[in-house]
Amino acid sequence: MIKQRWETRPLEIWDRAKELRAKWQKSIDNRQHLLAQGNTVESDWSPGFEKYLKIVEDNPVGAFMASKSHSFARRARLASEVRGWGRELCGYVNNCWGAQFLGRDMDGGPFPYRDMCVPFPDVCDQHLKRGQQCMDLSPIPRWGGDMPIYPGERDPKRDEEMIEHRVYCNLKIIADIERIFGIEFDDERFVENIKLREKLSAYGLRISQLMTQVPTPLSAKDLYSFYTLGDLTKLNPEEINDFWKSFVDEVQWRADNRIAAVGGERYRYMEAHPPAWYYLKYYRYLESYGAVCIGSQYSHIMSGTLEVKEDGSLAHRDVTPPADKPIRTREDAVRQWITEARGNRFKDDEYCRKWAITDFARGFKADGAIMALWRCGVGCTLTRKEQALRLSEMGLRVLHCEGSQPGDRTDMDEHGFLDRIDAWMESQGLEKLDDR
Amino acid sequence: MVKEFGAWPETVWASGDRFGGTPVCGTDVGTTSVQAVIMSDGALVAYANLRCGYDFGEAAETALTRALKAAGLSRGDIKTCRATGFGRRRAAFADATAEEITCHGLGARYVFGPDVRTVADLGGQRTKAIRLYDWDRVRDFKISDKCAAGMGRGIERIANLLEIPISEIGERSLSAEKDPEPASTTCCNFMYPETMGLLRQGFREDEYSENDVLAAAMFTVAWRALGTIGKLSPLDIGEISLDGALGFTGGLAKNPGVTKRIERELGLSALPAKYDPRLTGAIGAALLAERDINPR
Amino acid sequence: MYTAGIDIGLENIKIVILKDASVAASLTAPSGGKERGKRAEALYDEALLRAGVSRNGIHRTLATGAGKFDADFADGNIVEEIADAAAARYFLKDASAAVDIGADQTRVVSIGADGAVTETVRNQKCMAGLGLALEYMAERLDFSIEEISLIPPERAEGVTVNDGCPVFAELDALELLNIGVPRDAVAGAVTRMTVVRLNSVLRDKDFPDRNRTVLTGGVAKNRAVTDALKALSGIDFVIPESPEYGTALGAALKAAD
Repeated sequence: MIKQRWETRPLEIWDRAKELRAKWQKSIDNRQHLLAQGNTVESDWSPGFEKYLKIVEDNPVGAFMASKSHSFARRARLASEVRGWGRELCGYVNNCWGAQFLGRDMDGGPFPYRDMCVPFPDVCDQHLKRGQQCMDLSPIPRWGGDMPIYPGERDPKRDEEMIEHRVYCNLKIIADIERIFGIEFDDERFVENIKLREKLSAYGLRISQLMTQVPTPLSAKDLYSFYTLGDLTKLNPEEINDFWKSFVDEVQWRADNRIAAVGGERYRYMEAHPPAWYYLKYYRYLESYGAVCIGSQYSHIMSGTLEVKEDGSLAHRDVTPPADKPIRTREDAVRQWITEARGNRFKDDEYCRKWAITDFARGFKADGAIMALWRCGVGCTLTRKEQALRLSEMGLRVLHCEGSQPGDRTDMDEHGFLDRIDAWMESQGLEKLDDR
Repeated sequence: MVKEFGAWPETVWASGDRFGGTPVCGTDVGTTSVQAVIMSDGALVAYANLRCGYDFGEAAETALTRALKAAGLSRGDIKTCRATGFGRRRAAFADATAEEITCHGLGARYVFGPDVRTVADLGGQRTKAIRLYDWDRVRDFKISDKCAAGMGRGIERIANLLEIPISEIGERSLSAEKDPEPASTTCCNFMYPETMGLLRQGFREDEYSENDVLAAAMFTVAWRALGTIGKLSPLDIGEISLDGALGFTGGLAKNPGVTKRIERELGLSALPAKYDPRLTGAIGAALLAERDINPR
Repeated sequence: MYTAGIDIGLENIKIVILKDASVAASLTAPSGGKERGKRAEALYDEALLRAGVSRNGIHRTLATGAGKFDADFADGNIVEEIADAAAARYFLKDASAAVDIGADQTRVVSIGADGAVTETVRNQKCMAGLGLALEYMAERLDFSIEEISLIPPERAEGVTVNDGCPVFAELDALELLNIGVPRDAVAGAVTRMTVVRLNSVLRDKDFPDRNRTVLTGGVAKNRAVTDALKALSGIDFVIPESPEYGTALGAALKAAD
């Protein structure tokens, strides 16, 4: 029997979240839309084409496959491998596009072949390769959504030029799609979406701020069910706005009443990456030690670009433009949207973004960290070891686990991971609270 | 360290029949095992199969000696000899060498009959997949990467750690209660700790029996083999069309835990072998040796 | 007071019975598979016999190692790192690091001033099974483990095997034999590979102190490896006699807490 330190209760908003997700699924099942390979965040212009086009990301498809069907995911990856795509490619990518080669999706239905590709590169191996299998299959139109990045001190002139470049790229993509597919872009809808995104980012920030509290009202595991709902669900702006408002209200109420996500919370750990989607029960295992995950830079991605202030609180980074700037042309709209010169991805470093791993640890009051060393995909392990050393210097105990990739269940050595968790916890003097 | 469980039995055999023609010899010096066969007039007279130590030449020599003894022949009776396999150049007694793919192709037709079109050689270190025309030639082949090598050796290690005889390990894995995922799909050095790790109690509902543990390991080997076999015919791996029948050769051909899983994933049954399939390469070499003295 | 430590490793079971601060008995046997718990129990009874004490005479028994949960006859279990730290302090009063190199796993444990564990490192998967790899390589080269322990890396005379992956290393070794490289040169190359891998794991987090580090585990019996590792890392490891019992000893010490 776990001795509860804090009161807990389940979230009330679960069912609404599930409903929304189901609605989104259905909305792309109808084959009336053109399907695009891409990423909804980087292709935020897509609501402008929403009558005709849907972005279907490969990451969530791959992650979903990883968590729902090992054997189908495995077959998909093999189908990709025997056609020459390396095993070390991202598991998400190989899952999703492997299914393309199989010609069917996880439910047995026909594979939703894409009509175009707008992949975006990133400071990570797999993003550059995303969509290659898709592009390889047939000569569909493809564009490059650039995400320029540079290490070192910020250079305002360079930033300006990078923003120009990205604005140009996106305007061209929109114009090309109009021309090639003969569809009209709805600028009003686009602007509406930008404003919605800014609102959602504010809601997201609130959630992140509330999770810095001890005890945390939400755990990372909870957050996974919500953090993409802003992206994937461009159904009805009012509905989404409404949902997020309710969500924030509920989490605020929990925080005010010190309702914890994990009743035994006595240890807070952070992560660095998408988790092993096929083995989320390790969060439950850690709860038996009274340890709760307060998230990662990845899971807090809804909040936009953050920084930790002098007083330790989280806030939006100052580059976010004021929402009341007038938008008169499509170009204005794109500029409003592209606020960040350098990629706001979560790959490391004081230089790349002003939310370094140590700031994150400080902001969320982390006691420890799990730094996964993934062999491929999603940032690979770029800088993970360096980050671990910096967290170590801060006084956090860091656990490393290894696997292929969050989308690829094999080589995770799940029992070995539990073993390491035991060693990590017990060598910090923490025994299990109950016999799980 | 226990070693006897992973040590598969060495074999010697002789047909005992009278034979005509001129005896020739073929030897396949692999990374892990060596086979020497004596053939005469297209018939198999005798063979020996044993493990390689550090001296490939000596192992080949021993194999030949054992086969000769079983056949009641002496070195002088052998007209000519061909060597193939990883260590073929170390077989000092060979008159010529031949590369393994050709020998496996030729040997496969002998061992499996004329219907064979695809040969999957599942060895101690490497996997080779060979596609044949319906006459005597190799059409295509694929050899496994350096990465994902060592699967056969990996199984020997599992057998020793679990203390289960390697000859039983395959069959027992087919009696698994669970149908576990492969312990790895990348590497045999990841396979063994993850396999052994299944013995650790994870969550209560995750109890693995010994057969389940074996199943996870065998599945790993099978899956990696599919990675090579599948490259021959990159259609939907589930409905892979191998244009005819498949034969397994190499040490793991004797491991139903691996072969049956490959068959299951490919949705077919492999051809039965008329002779010990591990001899395929050596038989192919011997057939080439026969051609040396009887060119067609 | 008698206590007992049972280390069920991936390859071998090690048992140590302590009478206060002295080893009363120590035994080892192969672990095996699912039956390792039963085997550990039988070995435990044998050790008790050797120590001249009954089960009731043992104050407390703690299990550790990969198979710790299989020792249901033990009073409890602890993680290996805690046992390693206790053992290191036993062998060296002010030890600040414990390194254990076994058949499967390599661990580096940082020890604080009060003897508590402050940091832990376990090998990454690419380095799994160093002890096993050495044993299998010795067998392949027809050396006993004692013989291969006497062949220093210098014997390789410039010949190398891949030091990033043990699978590649084995293939390389076979290829060397194939081209006629003598087996002791190959053995030297394999030893060098092992030492290079070990040196890298030592640098994962806290680098162990030159003069205050204890080395245990079966591989610590291999002179060729330990001499070369000392030279390469610059750490003057303190290596106890019968180092394979280190973790079990540590568990027995913790059983007295």
